Amino acid sequence: MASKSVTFDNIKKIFRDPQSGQDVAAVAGVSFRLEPGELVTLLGPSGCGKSTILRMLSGFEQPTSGKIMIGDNDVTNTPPNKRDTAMVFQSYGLFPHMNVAENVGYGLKLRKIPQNEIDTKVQKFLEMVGLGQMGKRPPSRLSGGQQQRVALARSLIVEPSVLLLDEPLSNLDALLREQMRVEIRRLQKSLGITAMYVTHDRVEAMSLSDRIIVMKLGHIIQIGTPSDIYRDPVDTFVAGFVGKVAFFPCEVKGLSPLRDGRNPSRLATKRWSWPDLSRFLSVNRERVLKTELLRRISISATA
Amino acid sequence: MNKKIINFIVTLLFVVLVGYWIYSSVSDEFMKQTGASQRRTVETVAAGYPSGNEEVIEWLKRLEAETSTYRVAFVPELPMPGEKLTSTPQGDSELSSLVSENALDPEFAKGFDNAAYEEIYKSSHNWTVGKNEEQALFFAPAIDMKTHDVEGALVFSFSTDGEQNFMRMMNTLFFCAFVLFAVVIWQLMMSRDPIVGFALAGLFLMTLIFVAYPLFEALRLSFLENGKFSLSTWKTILQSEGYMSALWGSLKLGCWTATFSTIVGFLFAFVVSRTNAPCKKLISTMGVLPVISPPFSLTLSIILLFGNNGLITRWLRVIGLDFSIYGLPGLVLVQTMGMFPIAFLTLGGVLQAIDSTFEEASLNLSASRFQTFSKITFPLAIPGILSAWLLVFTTSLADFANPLLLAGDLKVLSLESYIEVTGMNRLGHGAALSILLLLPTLTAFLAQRFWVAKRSYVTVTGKPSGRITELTTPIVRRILTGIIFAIIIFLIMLYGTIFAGCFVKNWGIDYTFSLENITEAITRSTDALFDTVTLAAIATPIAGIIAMIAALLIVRRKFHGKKLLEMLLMTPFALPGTLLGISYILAFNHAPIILVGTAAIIIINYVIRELPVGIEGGIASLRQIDPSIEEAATDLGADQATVFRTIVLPLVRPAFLSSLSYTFVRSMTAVSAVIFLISARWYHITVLIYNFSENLRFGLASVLSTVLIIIVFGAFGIMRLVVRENSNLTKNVT
Ligand SMILES: Nc1ncnc2c1ncn2[C@@H]1O[C@H](COP(=O)(O)OP(=O)(O)OP(=O)(O)O)[C@@H](O)[C@H]1O
Ligand SMILES: [Mg+2]
Repeated sequence: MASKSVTFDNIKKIFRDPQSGQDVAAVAGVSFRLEPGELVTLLGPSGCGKSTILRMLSGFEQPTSGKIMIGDNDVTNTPPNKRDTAMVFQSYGLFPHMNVAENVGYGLKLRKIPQNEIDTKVQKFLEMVGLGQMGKRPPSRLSGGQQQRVALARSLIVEPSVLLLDEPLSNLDALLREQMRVEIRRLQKSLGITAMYVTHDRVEAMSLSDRIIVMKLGHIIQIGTPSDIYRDPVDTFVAGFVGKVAFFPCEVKGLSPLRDGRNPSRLATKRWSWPDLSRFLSVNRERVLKTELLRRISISATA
Repeated sequence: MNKKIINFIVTLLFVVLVGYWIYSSVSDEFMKQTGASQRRTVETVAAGYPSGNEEVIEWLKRLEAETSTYRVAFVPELPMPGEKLTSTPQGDSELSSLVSENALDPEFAKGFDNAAYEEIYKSSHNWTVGKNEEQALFFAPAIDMKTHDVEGALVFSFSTDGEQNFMRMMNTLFFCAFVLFAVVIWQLMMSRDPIVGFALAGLFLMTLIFVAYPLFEALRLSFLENGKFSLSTWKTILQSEGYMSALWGSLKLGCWTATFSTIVGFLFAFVVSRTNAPCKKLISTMGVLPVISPPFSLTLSIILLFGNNGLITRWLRVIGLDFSIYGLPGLVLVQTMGMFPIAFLTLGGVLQAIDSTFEEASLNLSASRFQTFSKITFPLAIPGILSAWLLVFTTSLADFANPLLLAGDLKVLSLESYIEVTGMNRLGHGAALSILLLLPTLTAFLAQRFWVAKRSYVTVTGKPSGRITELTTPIVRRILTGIIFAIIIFLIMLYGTIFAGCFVKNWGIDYTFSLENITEAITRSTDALFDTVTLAAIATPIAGIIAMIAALLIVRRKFHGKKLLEMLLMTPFALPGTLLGISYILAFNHAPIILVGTAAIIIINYVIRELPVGIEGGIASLRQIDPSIEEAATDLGADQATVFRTIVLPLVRPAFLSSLSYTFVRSMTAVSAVIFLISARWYHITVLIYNFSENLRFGLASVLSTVLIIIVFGAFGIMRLVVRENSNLTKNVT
């Protein structure tokens, strides 16, 4: 399957609260681009708009303004059933009145594919997710992890250009979660599919993603590879979210140039205001100690 | 977005233009055709003009007698241009006077002129002939056959009613088509899923036409007198002692029935949930059973037992007791037997939800059982008791079948409005009376829904403990159980009486065993039974599917006017059947929608009436289903209709099935609305039962009641079996 890029162009989503009648911006104008075959994770605290972004990409929500592209197609007004995306839901959304094989074959049946072809393909995908023997079972008689695999197979079998996963592992125990994480990554890579993954588990985000988008209150705070974000967070929020951190509130008294040439201009020419410096210093402990920046900057702790 | 709106407007303009073109060419063609055929008529008639005074008068008379499509007047001498008539026109008097009055009008001058040149002329505009009748005028020469001289002019007038009707029909038709087109185009161009849009538009249209419009018509008619606004109907009703006593009768009946039913219902519920009485299953079953007994069945057996010739009446007469079951006491008895299950179901739920730990705590604090009951259990149950009372009150007020047979001298509103409509043919009064009935019904209904239901404390306490705290001493328990079993035996006796009534030659007179009633009833009711089953069978799937679609839209979709749609859909639940029936015959016996006498009006009435229960069931069931199941199907490429068919319907199957069986049973046992809507072609078996009972053919009525009871129980039985098969599925859905 040809993997496709995804572009969000200044997307806004405003919900009207039915009780108070007030407008709430769940997504406040975000732009980003997923390269073909890339797995990007949306990371952020609860309520920051991650699910909303995913639901806009899959078509369940209509953006208030902005443009969404999959490949070269503008899909902003395309209904969800006509979009080339497949979603894996947090609660799986398996059809309880169908057995596992019927669940996985549902999308193919809609495409009017002959039943024998469906059967072979379903078997292939069930084996791919390690459920080759389970086709006849009702989903209710599977474990959580197995149900998750069925949901995954059901989404992958229709060969979508974009795979969307909304906290797919949050209902699983820690061990299974690690296992499934590896599995998802393996399948996504081997199929070369573009994927967007929502989580608020930073370990998951770090170990799984090609890139991470960190969000807060409907805004994108930072986009970058896991190591970028870990090592060079743009502010205390990101730093706090992706790593164990200690914050040192401090005041800049004066600056001397760096000896090893790392970021000299940035440090030397800027007048350091408090937020900037705290951003720089409040990164996780390992880095602060390693770069030994503290010794090069004349500071005095205020607390 | 703006581009879309412009596109929409352009398309709509295009549709309007094309529509107007079709409209004007069709109406032009129609006008031309009628004009041409009228001209031909004029030609042929004028050709038959005889000469000579006597003959002409004779001829004119004959024409007038022969035809009603046109009128003729004869002007014996053509006036000179610009001058008055020199002779009096003959023939049709109204037309003649029009001619002599307007002889100087340019149109008439032209007409006479044309006649002089032996031409036929049609006036360029219509004229009012006589009383408000728009007529087209033709002028034709009166030619003497022999001399070929023009002896005068013949003036013909044709009624334009046909044309006006045609134009009116065209206007309505094109307006409807235009609205339809606009909605369809709007949906296709503006909405991302047009199917949902169409479903919504359909629901709105349906409720507006079949709920709002009939009610509006009923209300309108109650304010009309001779086609003008007037308060006279209401004045008559509110000042008439008879009508007011019907209102009091209804209220009195409602209060008594509600009170007794609540007491009996509470007794049943209390014994089931708070004591260790034996045979609780039997008590529960018998406490619910009467709610599905067909109309007239309990009344019928009461009459068989306590009526003027009743079995028990005779015995009582022997010991010198004389009484009449017809009237308030009899009605309260029948209604209580039929309606206490409503109270039992409500209070059973309430008592079960009250956490027994409260009572245990009270008992542990060494309060007596009676103290515990009066200080804890009863106060906690008060909102439930009020709720039950109000529910029964509404049901009693709306009841129509029982008073129909048993009211005697007691006047109640539902019955009065029926008599006004069918007996007196005073539709306005009937409408007004049923609206009057709506006031207390609606008040009680709304009070129950929004006031009492919100005040119930029972949900606050945690999970029901499942254990039973014995709240009675053995003696009290025995007394209560005794009362309950007396009631149960009475109920069984009532059902048994109907059954026995089938096999008795002539109840009250000749109690010998006979199968004659059965054969006669079956031969005489075959058609009605077939109609009843057919209508119910058609209405059932329609109501079921619409209910599930409506529930799905209400639960899962955001749209403007949702509250309004919900209200319109739910309204029929609170309406007395008589009001619905009367408003349907009022609304659908004239243009633009004429349905009276068809099967459609009955089916639509069933669907509209039974939708609310199906919708509520569907909503409750959908709320339990994770929306991501439907979203997953959509995401995999299913459109809304496919999602509904392959996912939603199978998942809400229990609710769907119970909505089906409910609609079927209620349609089979309908009386209050359907009695207004039946026709010679489409009859209903309950009305037949009523007719038999009225004619004292109780044997036949018993047979039909038994048949209905069997059908009703059969339908519920099948439904329960099917649903039980599905119960493992429902567990998985949540
Ligand atoms: N249908 C809706 N109507 C109104 N407000 C909504 C709706 N859906 C989401 N919101 C609001 O939009 C904001 C973002 O919601 P969203 O579900 O995208 O958060 P999230 O990042 O996925 O959170 P979580 O991690 O808890 O899943 C929240 O404040 C939420 O209350
Ligand atoms: Mg979410």
